[in-house]
Amino acid sequence: MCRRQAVATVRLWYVLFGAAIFALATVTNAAHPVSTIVDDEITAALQARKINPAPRAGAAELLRRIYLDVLGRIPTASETADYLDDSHPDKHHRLIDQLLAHEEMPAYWRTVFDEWLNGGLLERDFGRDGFLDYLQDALQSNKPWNRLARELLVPDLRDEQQRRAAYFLAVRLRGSDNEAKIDSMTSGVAGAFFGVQLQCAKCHDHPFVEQWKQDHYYGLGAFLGRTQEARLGNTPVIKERADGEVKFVTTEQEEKTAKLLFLDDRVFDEPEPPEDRDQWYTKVAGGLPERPYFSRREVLADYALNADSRFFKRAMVNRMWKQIMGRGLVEPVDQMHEANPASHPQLLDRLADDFAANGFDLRRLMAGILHSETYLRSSRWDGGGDRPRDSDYATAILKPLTPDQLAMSIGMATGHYDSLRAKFEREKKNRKIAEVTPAIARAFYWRERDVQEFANRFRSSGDGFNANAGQALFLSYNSLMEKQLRPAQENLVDRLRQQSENALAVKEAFETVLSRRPTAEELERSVAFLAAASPPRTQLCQELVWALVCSGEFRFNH
Amino acid sequence: MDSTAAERLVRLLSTHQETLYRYVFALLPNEQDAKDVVQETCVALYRKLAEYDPERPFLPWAFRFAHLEVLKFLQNKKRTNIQRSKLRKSMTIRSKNSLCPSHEHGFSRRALLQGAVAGGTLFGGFGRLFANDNAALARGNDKRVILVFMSGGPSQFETWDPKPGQPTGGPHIAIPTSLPGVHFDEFMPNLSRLANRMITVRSMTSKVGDHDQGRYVAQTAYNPSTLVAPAPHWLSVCAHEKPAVADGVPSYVMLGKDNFGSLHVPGAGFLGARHQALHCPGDGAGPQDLPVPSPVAIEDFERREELRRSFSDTFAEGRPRRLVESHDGAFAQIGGLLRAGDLFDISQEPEKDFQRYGDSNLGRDCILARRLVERGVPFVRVQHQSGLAWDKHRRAFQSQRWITSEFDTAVGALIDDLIDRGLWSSTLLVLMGEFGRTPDIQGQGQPGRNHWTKCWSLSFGGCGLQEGLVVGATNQNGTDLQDRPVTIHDLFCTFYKTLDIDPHKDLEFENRPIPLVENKLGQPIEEVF
Repeated sequence: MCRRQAVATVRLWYVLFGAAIFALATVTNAAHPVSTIVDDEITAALQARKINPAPRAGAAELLRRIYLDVLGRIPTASETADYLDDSHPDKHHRLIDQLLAHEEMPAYWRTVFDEWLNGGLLERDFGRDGFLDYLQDALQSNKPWNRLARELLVPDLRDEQQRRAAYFLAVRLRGSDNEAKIDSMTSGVAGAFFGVQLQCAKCHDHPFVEQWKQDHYYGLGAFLGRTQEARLGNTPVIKERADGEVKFVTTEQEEKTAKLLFLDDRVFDEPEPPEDRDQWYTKVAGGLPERPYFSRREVLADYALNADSRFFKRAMVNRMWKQIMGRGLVEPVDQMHEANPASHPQLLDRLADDFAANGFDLRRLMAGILHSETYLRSSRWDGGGDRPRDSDYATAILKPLTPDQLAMSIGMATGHYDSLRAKFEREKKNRKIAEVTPAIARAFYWRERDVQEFANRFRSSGDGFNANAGQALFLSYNSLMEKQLRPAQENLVDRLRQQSENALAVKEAFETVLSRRPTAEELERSVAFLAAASPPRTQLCQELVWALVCSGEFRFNH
Repeated sequence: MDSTAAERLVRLLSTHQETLYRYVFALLPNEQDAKDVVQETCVALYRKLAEYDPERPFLPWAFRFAHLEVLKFLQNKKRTNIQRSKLRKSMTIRSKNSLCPSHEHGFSRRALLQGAVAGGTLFGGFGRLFANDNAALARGNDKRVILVFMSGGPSQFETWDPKPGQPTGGPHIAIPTSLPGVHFDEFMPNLSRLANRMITVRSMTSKVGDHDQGRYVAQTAYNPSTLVAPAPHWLSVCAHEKPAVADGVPSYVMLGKDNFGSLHVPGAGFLGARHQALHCPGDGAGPQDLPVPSPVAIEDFERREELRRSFSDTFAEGRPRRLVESHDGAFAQIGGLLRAGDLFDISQEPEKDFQRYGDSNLGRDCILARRLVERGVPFVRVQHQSGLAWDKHRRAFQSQRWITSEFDTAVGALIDDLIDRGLWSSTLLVLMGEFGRTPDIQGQGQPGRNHWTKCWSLSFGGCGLQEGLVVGATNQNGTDLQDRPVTIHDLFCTFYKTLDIDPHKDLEFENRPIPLVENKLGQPIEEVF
């Protein structure tokens, strides 16, 4: 009641004093209720802090931002030209919808989900391709998040499609150390579905978060501890035992058997096992693993992966928000507990409730955030005084390109991507595919060893942006980069060196790399650079492309 | 005694003679006495060779004899002249001729002569012998740090705080160090020998028993969940407070793979990328992809960098400075590295050093660390193996010896060289991991020790600090602290004070004061100054 009244008061307040920008936002976004929630809450908070947000970003900026956020790559030169020449005032909204329906979208977002779910894991090759395909199919069909999560936790192995989802737990069961397996499953499930990290509570009650006790860590572990790895043909899957307890030692050196305890303190009882041990397991046809008389994982899935579960709905909203906006409403995203409140608690709750009420529709959530005026703001702050904090969302947040986005986008800019796509085309027969669709080309390119290696040089397990000299050296001297700058097969450098008109060459370089036209000053400076007597023209063209690819503008999604 | 056994002894002694000599000299700081005792020790070793188990390391075994010989010598000296039998004399002459390569002798004799000339201080005597011109350059930066990080959490029982004979003690034995009454693990002969130059803390106590968070606290002085700003690595703080003096030389270099799975080394945090470590991949290699420096390389780089920078500058207007500067700073650093020439080229170091430091990644990284501090890099972090090498939950006693020996050989040689080259008095050397290991030996079949934060050990020294000090103690079986608890915060206060940085100074982030040490906690360990 109270909260509703407060919201109503806030609404009334800005209806009365509403900024022109907001009025514009409501007109254009009337169709998307999620965007309304976003702009509602963010604008109220900005007004409370007396901050005037930055204006909407320019066309070229939005073009590049939307491509990077939805497809994980920069636009091609022709996509850029099409968009910049389009005079429709709502073209960015149309672009968002068009790209959300683009066939490359699931091919990109599967890597995002894989990173969320399995990012820190090692040695995950076996079964990974199947898992990525599973994610891609799920995103293609816009499978609701609660169903997707359920399939990850308790996959129905009779369904061959779903079977591939078992990888999520199976990959955590590799190695010989039983305790490490339970740890890996527990932290994986806690982080992916509930946005919490409980590792601290493993050895003792959490030192800084009163909410988390050892009982919670091992309680979640108890739901998972009976899970074991199995294999069906070439697919890693999981099975569950009918017995086995998770035990732990408290700081008082007392040995405890973990209860089936969820994060919200709900405890589950387990039925007594049948006296006849032969009834502990039920056979399943088709060579599938036997089923235990009681599945602990199913209890967890039934209870925790649904609309009533506060942890579950908030965790995904927060991750999605961070992916698109550049900063979680709760930071870090796996520390969603009482001691670490959201920057906009009401926004998080409203988005989470909306997400749950609308069938955990991932694409609806994405679209809602993307269409919001908050998302469309400029990343430039000309408002005078200090730049507002990122958590105010008064400007767009600068997002460093993720390693995958960077490797892909540099490949697009230099023409390396095109040359490999031509190679895939030639190898169609060997690769047993009828047609190299954009989605298939994306997946193949991402899987190339060189591209993986390229991306890996930019991976760091820490959060936040830490440019280092090692990466700068890589972009300047490593053969994986130099190769892309060598003129070949109509790639960018080749086209530039054949273009005798320097001004046209510079324009082409800017449109291809930065997805915009050069300013007059940039044009003049770059033309002068190309006009130098030495070194040879090819080298000058390479250096121009290098300078654009290595500029701050390229490195960030802005 | 068959001839192959004698040959084996000859080999072992020729490999370890210098170390043996240094050990004895540490206990008996007089050239002639030390030489006599080494001779006696050689005789004793020759006689008892049949008892030597070649599966075990030679030096700890030899040190036990050397230790006994030193005690015997001191007793004899008290009573009367030393008597030597003819047999022993002939034996020692023979062993001297055949066992000790001339250059080793040359080394120790010259070293000691130099010491005598320098005024016969106990140990400083070794110094300056090999000091080269670069050492003078390094002295321009008044203080340096080399942090050797033992990732995974080394066991205090198998390093600096052995408890032999206790139920918690494990199968290793303890050997005497150069400090009377103080024993270290048998696989640390060099660090035992050098105990009288170091400070050993046996009463570290901390709270976080998770690797990632533990090493975060142990390298930033901040608990991860209490952050108001992303905390920088303490060496990034040092680089911020006391940057390199020499032009183009990085202030902070990190040797060895920096991450392993989800574990990582804290970066520069809110200080920004300018104060971040320059990474080298390990095994003594310089930064990846750095071309051979040449005037053409510098010219090419500067031309294109100027253009790149101009594009970046346009973009930076109105955008968050920290991020764009971080990006541009990384490119600017390349210019410095190209101009710094052969800074990272350890192939120019003497061949025999590679033997002394051990044939290991760590050994080569320690040589590179030495080269870097000699050439003006003030702060170097060396990663001992990637990730979790010291994390011995299982099979601890099958594998502990190898990692400890490798560590001891490389770090021992590094300390020797820092002393010999006159850098010891201005270089803080820190040897530590993120926490210790349980007194209980757990697991079935192939036991090990789990994470333990209540009481653990580490060691540091140099930089004008007290030498040969043991701080704090654990109880008889190592299950609890007995004396003088030292917290992580105390430790950082001590390090910062050593470097003349006020440990409770505030830095600024987003207009908020951020103290160097979390909540201004902790006090320097006063007795080490």
